[in-house]
Amino acid sequence: MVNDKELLKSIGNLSVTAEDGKDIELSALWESRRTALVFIRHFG
Amino acid sequence: MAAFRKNTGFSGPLYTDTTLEVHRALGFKKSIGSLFGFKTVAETLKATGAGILPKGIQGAPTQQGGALVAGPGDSLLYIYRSREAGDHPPVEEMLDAVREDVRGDDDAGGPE
Repeated sequence: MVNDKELLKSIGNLSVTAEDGKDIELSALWESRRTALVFIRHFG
Repeated sequence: MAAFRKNTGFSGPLYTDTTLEVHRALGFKKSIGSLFGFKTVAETLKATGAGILPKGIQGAPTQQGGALVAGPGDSLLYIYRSREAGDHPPVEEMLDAVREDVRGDDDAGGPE
């Protein structure tokens, strides 16, 4: 497990899928602004 | 995701981690035991009492979540890894991280 300081760098190039079906790299989400990412288990 | 918006009134951006790669990379817990902890039972009773009924789980029920606060750039201000179902990051801790002054930022100021 990488330590927290290196964590963002290590996950930055992973992608998630937006509602419109497009993939986006995680680093794009926090690149230009403070961002809170909440991981919920399910949408139901 | 549309059902989630309807049920919660959430209007921010939503994304899915379809391969759970991000969950794994962040070290989020995945175990059958995390579904049945004491806190899970307590939180389920509380939610049910408040009228929040499970409407069907999509995705892996044994996968737990968490939260992080990051940016701008590669600065991690906060991370929380849920230990079991119903274990949520304290909102005030997250808000403190969101409000934390950005070091070296010319226009850093109070919370927006």
